[in-house]
Amino acid sequence: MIIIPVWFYGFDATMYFISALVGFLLSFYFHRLYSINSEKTHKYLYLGFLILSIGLMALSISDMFSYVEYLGCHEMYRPCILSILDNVFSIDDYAYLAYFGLSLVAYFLFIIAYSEKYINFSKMLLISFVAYLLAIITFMPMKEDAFLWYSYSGYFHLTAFIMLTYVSLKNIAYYTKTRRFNSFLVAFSFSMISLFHLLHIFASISGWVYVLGHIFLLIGFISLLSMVLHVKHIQERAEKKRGADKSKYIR
Amino acid sequence: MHSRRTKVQIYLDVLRAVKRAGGRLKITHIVHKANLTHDRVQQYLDYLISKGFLEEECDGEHTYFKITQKGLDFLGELNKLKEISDAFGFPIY
Repeated sequence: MIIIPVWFYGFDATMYFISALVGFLLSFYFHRLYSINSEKTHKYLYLGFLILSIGLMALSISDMFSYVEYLGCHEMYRPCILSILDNVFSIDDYAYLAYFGLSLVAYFLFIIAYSEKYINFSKMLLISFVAYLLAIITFMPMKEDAFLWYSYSGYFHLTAFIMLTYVSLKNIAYYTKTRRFNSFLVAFSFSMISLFHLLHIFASISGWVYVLGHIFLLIGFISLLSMVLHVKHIQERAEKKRGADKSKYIR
Repeated sequence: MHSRRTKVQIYLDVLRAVKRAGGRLKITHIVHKANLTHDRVQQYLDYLISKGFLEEECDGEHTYFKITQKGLDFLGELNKLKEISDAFGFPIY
C-alpha cells in the first residue's frame, strides 16, 4: 500500500516530468559523444538515460491524467474511469509497469557501463539476477490490491535501489579519487535517486515518506542539471576569456 | 597507468594544437604537438576537414591546416562533452 497525500497530487507528476527532461538532455549529450567517439560506455549511458526518461515521461503523463480524472469524478459524483483500453488494466497499470520495466533496463545499462570500466561480472551473478527478476514477475503479482502496479511496486523499488546503489558506490569511489565538483554532483545525484527508491519501499508508513522520496528524486535530477550548467558556465567563461584573441585565429 | 587516447581526445589535441599555434599549422607540427604518427594523423585530419573544422591552405611552398569558426565552436563543444563524461567517471583518455 502506498500512501499519497491528496495535496501532493500533480506535484509528483511534475517532478517526473522535470526529471525526464533532464534525462533527455543527458541522453542527448551522451549520444553526441557516442557519435563522435563510438565508445560503448557512452552508448550505454545514452540509451540508459533515454529509456529512463521515456519511462518517467509516461509516468508523468499517466499520473496527470489519473489526477485530473480523479478530481473530476469526485467533484461530479461520477465513477472514476481510469481504464482507457480495456476494463482490466487502468492507465496507471500500463504506465507504471512500463516505467518499472524501462527503469530496470536503464539501470542495467548503467551497471554494464560501469562494470565494463571497473569490474567484470561473473556469468553466475548475471544469471542469478535475471532469475531473481523472473521470480518477481512470475510469483509476486496481484494479491488483494486494487491496482496491478501496486503489487509490483515494492519489488521494483527494492531491485532499483540495489542496482542504483552499485552505480552510486562506483561514482562515490570515483569522486574520492578525483575530488572534482562535477563528479561530486553526479555521485550525489545517483545517491539521491537511490534514496528515492528506498523510501518508496516504506511509503506505506506515511504520506510524508512518499513526499520526501520524490523530493530526493527531484534533487537528484536537479544535481545532474546543475552539473551540466556548471560545465557550460565554466566553458563560456573560458571562451569569453579567450574571446579577445579569437579574431587573430581567423583570417 | 597510461591508457590509450580516444578519438575525442585526439580531435581535441589536434584542434588545440592548431589553435594554440595561432590558428594554422603545418602537418609535421601537428604530428609533433598532438603526439601522433604520420600514418595516423591523416585519418584524423580527413575527418576534421570533411566536417569543416579545419581547412587546407597552401602558400606555394608549404601546406597549412587552418582552424575555422566551426572548428572553434566544435572545440568548445568537445571540451564541454569531455567534462560531462569525466564527471560520470569516464575520462576521455
